[in-house]
Amino acid sequence: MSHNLDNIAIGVTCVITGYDESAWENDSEAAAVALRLMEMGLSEGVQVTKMHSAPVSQDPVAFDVGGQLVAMRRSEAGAVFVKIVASNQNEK
Amino acid sequence: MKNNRHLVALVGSPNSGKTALFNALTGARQKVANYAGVTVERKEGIAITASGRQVRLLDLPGIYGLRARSEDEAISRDVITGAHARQDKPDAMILIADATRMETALRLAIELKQTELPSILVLNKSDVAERRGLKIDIAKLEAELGMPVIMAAAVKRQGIDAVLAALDTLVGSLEGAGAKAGCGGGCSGCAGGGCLMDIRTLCATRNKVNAILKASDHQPPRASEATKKLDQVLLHPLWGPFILLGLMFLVFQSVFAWAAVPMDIIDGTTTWLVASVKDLMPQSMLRDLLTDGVLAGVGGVLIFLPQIVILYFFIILLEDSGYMARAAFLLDRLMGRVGLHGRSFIPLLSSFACAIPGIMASRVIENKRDRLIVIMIAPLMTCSARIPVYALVVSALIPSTKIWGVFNLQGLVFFALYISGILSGLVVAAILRRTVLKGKPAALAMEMPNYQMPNIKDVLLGLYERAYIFLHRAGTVILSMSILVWVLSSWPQPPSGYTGQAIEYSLAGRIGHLLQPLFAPLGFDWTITASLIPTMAAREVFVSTLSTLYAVADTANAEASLASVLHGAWSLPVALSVLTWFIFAPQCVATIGAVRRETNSWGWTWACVGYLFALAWFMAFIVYRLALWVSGL
Repeated sequence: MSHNLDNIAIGVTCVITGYDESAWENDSEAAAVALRLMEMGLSEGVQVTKMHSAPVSQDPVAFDVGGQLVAMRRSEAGAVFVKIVASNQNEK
Repeated sequence: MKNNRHLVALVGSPNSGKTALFNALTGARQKVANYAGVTVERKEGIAITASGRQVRLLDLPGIYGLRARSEDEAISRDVITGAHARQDKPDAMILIADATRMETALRLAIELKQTELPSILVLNKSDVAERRGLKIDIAKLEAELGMPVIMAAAVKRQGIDAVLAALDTLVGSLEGAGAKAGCGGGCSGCAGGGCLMDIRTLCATRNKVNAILKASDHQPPRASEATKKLDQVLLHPLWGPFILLGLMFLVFQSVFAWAAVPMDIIDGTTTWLVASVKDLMPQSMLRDLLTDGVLAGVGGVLIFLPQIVILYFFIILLEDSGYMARAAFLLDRLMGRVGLHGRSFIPLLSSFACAIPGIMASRVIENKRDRLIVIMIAPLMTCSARIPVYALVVSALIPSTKIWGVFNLQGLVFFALYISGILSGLVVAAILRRTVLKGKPAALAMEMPNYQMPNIKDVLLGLYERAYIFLHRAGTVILSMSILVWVLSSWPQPPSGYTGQAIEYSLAGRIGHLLQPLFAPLGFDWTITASLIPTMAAREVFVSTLSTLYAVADTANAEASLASVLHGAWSLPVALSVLTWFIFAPQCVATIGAVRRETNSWGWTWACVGYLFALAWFMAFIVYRLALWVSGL
């Protein structure tokens, strides 16, 4: 089942299936964010694990991407599509 | 001679350890300035290669490729593609990347090869990468990439000789080479539809990177266990914010506590110098210019240096250890409510010591609009120079009664003054976000670097740089402004038979009289209005000017006696009005100078001064009228 990266629970590992490309044409900001995420290693087929979320609002969020911690706001993560691979036992 | 030295650009992705490598290659032989027309810092240093060649090394802002989103990234791109108007195109490049992030490293190398500049690639943090199991065949990688690859650990100063040797060969190969190559395409900006093209290019590059990594037998290192464990605590939903709060408290406390002794020494030295000059020289305008203008002005600048150095010590430590990104992560949402970026908290916190280091520290914010908002509201944070003014007025006119048996009214007023500054700063930020600086704060998306022990040499070099920038640039502005304020408040001198105060006869006194109608609605009498002019040099001058004007004897009890004079001379509404004025007023030329320097725009500077002045006037007016009305009931 397909999810958006902003709705993943802590400890869950997923694989990136793509980006919400429909926003790119009209919203250069969305495309710029997608580009930056890709530059930081969040490309299609890459496995990411949700590690942290900020207190109270649960926003922003941080993921392990190939051993590197990458942080982003939930609104930025929302444009990334993922498929869940495994949920960690440590999950609360 | 200078033209014979080749210019080599140091280019790398953020968090790759670029500054450490730059420091290791150049030692203290470096110069910091700004690029013309922008506030992006330009660092150049001299590296001496294995064979004794001198090479000019230019440290460029961090980039991920040839795409530019921020002002900093645009500078890097324009310089290495030769498109920058004022900066010569470099002759060659040293590319630096994190060895634990081979994909990023290779993508950078492949993209920057398009510039056709001769390059070497330094894989930094090799010690960490190897310890965590990185395997890569360097010879195969060099063959695939078509450029020399050197492993180094810049923070530990390992592999620096190898880099210098490779640099020697690189520069050697330039001699006798033809004209500099032009941009080999790919010089795109990320504006309009540019990003879409960039995304496609990025995907193509990624495939190339994967092929090269496979060919060089790459085995990625494991994730850092130490960083993971630290983050379990430092980013913990409960402990994380507490630790952050504790750290901020420590920084704040140190800035005040540790700086007190050196500040006293500087203050004492200035006073001693002033006294010595007064002993040595006969009474004259020149002597007064030296003592009250130059020495008082320079002393007024120097006295902030200890606070700035201590503050930067912590900022550099937090930045170099990797914690700064975590702090931005924890605070982003809170700051975002009023349109501030998560990184704004450091400059705003600094502003409680003094707005100048706060405004200088706004450089940690990459986005220009986000940075402007912080600069505009930094003067609203209650700086330490306001404390003497608040203390005087509060002790003179606010009764020291207990409220509900617990709170002291004077303490409550003090607290309210601080809170008013903070709240108005947040309101102004929110208004700016909805009007002139429209838009959301820049994207947060960022890598959170692995924790590492900062290198003491890098910390000291960074401190030296900040101190130099402050003394050099702020010194020139503040010194000339202090002299101007001195001239205004002491020229022309009264004739010998004049019975009033000298300041009354001076330009400042006349301006005070001229401005009196403007300040009369706030309840300010002529003495208060006239005091506001010398106070432009520094807020605490208000206290000494009032002493002069009310002819308070300069004894050990000067402040207590001034307070009792004020108690008789001012009404409570006037005191509240003066306090309100000091919360908001653009009351120090040094800050205005800092705003001018960091925004690099007179427009923004005047906008800042103008809105603070208007805000101060209206708030003081409202407070004065309200207080009058309440006391008349």
